Amino acid sequence: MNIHPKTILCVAAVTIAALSAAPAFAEWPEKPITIIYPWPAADPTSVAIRTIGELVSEELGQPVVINNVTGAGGTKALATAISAEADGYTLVSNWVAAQVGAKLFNPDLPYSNDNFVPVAGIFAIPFTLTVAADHPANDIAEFVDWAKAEGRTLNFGVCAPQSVPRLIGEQFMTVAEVSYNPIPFNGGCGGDNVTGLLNGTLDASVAVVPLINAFAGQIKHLGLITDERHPIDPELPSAAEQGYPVGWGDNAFGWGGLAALSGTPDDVVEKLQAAFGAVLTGDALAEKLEGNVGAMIKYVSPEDSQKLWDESAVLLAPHVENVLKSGN
Amino acid sequence: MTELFQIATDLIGWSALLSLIVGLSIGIIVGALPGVGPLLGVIMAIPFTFYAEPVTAMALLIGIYQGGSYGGAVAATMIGIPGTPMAAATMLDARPMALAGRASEAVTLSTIGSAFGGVISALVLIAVAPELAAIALRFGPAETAAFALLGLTALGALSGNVPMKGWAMGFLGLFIATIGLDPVSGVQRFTFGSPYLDAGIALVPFLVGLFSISEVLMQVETPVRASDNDTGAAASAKAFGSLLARPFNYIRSSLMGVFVGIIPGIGGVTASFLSYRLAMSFPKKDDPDFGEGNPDGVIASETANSAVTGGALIPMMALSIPGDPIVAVLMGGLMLQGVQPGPQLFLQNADVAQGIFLIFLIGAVLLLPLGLMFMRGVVRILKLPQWSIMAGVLMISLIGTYSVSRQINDLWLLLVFGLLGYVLRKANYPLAPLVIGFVLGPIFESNFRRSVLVSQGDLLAYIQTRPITMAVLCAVALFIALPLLRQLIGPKR
Repeated sequence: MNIHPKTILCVAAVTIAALSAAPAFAEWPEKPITIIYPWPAADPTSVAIRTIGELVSEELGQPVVINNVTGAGGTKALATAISAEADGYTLVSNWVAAQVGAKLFNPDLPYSNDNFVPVAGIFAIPFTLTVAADHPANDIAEFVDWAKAEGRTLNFGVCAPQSVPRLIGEQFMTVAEVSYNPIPFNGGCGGDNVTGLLNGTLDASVAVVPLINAFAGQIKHLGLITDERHPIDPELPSAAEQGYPVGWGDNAFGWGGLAALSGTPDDVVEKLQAAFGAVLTGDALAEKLEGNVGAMIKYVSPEDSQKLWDESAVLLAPHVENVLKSGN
Repeated sequence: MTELFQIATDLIGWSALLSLIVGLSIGIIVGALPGVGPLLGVIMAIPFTFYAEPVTAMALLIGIYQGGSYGGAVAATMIGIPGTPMAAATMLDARPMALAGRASEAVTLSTIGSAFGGVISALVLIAVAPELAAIALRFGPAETAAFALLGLTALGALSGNVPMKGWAMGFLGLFIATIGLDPVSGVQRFTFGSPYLDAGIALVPFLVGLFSISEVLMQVETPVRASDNDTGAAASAKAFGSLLARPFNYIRSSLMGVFVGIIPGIGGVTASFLSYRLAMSFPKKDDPDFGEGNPDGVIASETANSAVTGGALIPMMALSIPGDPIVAVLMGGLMLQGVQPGPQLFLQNADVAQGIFLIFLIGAVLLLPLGLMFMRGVVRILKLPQWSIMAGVLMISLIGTYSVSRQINDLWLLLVFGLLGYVLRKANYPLAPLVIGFVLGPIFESNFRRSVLVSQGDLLAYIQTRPITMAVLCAVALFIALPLLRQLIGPKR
């Protein structure tokens, strides 16, 4: 590992600052901060959150511990979080899938947007339209032309049955006026749906960009189901520029962020927001996280995060209803 | 061969070898502890691999994977509790053997079987991994569903004299597996509005409760314990003799394991039971009946579930398709090393790929001495008073179950299934079919439902375009029809 002299200087400066300022912070934080994280420890975003945690712990002078509470599409993490004290020592990584999507599908979940206070938006993962490598189409426009010429109902992989990528994918197919048959898979966007493309079960699938590394030469991304191109792969055209605007803006992403629990003292929330904001917009993080993981990081301010939460809930509601009505 | 040797000395080196031995030892121990299991083992080992060389890192993880698939058999034989779900099939005969004074022989058989299955699957891995990976791609939803159905046909056969009890337990297992969110529509089933049950019944509390807690309750009533009439050399001689006396079983079970391993999403439990079921079709005259201490049952199950490990690495390395949750973690570990599995692995990182193959082969061989050493230790533990062993089992079961999910509800579930297991055993209902139903139910259901969706309403026409599905369904029909025919025509034993 290469350690920059600058990094050492930085760490030293932060440490000295932290040490000299210690009395002023006596009330908070005086013990380690835990982030409840919904995805497994080996997940690339888990690596990112660990790195962010390390940098924030330098800011705050207390360790930041990542607790991976996985399962039930991220809802377990949120359900676990709300039973903790609202003291700023327990934070939770809130993702659109669990906080908004799952809540719409299952109103019985014990939490809602009101249980959480935004600390920062951290991730924004764009979704792709993906086919097997030998598919005749090479971009989204060609794909839609091909689909219409085929004149049959396409088998379309949509990730998990009650997932946000499913809603985004179906919205795209609706905009493109392609007749499709949604096929859900367990295990999200990066597993069995790709196998489905490879063994001919599916005609096309919603997927995510980094899969191209694992399945190089076996699949190809036709484009992003977004309104604009994205730094994760600037070569990939957006659906909008190919003539099929999904029109969901920032809501067309699998976004994930960090939230404190409602009722956390305002001054603590402000300290958290400042610390995470500084790390997420700072150079140290950009240096440490390169490639695909780095490109999925997108800082969103607390105010805009709150707006995103509310917008997503309104935008996704009718689509969830459609899915529930269709029965599969 | 000289090339392989060169790779061995250059690439593997002492650090990787040491990490392999550590991994195997951890694997055997976590496999033997009820509730802990190799999955938790590899997850907890991941952080230790961050700063190691790729081959050294993978040696640790692969060691745990291989050791874990064997460790369960030791607990199953000695204490009557399968440490892992795969060992549930091994226990059917290993436990009766142990109670009849053949404990060391049964564990030695498991060790030999595990090493044998591992070596065969390593050789297959080395020889034809990329070619075989193509098989994984031929298994779409219809094929997988048909294969799960084939596994379910073992239900009736595993219930001793009353097949109806086996079927009843199998269907109970299928029912318990339906609890949670519907895999296709996401609708809640039998959750009573509880978000905890949305995720379904977890395998660990189900299995540990059913076997571990119920065993403790049974032992409180009437203590029974494993014993050895032959110790040391005599038991080993008998066990090693089986290599010559039953070579066909070892080879058949290994190939079955490799094949099942290659198919994504089927896994070691199915392989063990299918292999066991197959062994039942070739009974030897002088052996006890299956389920009453037949060495062939132990060999079939243990050899097959070890061979699965090599089989499952094939699609992971060649196609980046992880066939089971443990392999998915291994894949994560590999990717954290900056090594991308997939078709280009053999081109860009050929040294890593070959290193992993070699580690796997050495691991399979090392399993034999390490496993036998471990057995000596366990035999010593068994000399402790029975009450202390059972108290330890109860404690480890609770801690192990809690540590997997860190949810207190899982412990309640553990106790519920413990009571269920106790009641069923008192009423002489077999537990193995319950496990098969529970494990295969979701695999069958989600893939069957997906086949119906993909067929767009015409399932029969769709199946006719899938030759593998047709072939497997024919095998299903045969498995069901043959025992019936034998009952009608053949002489009664």
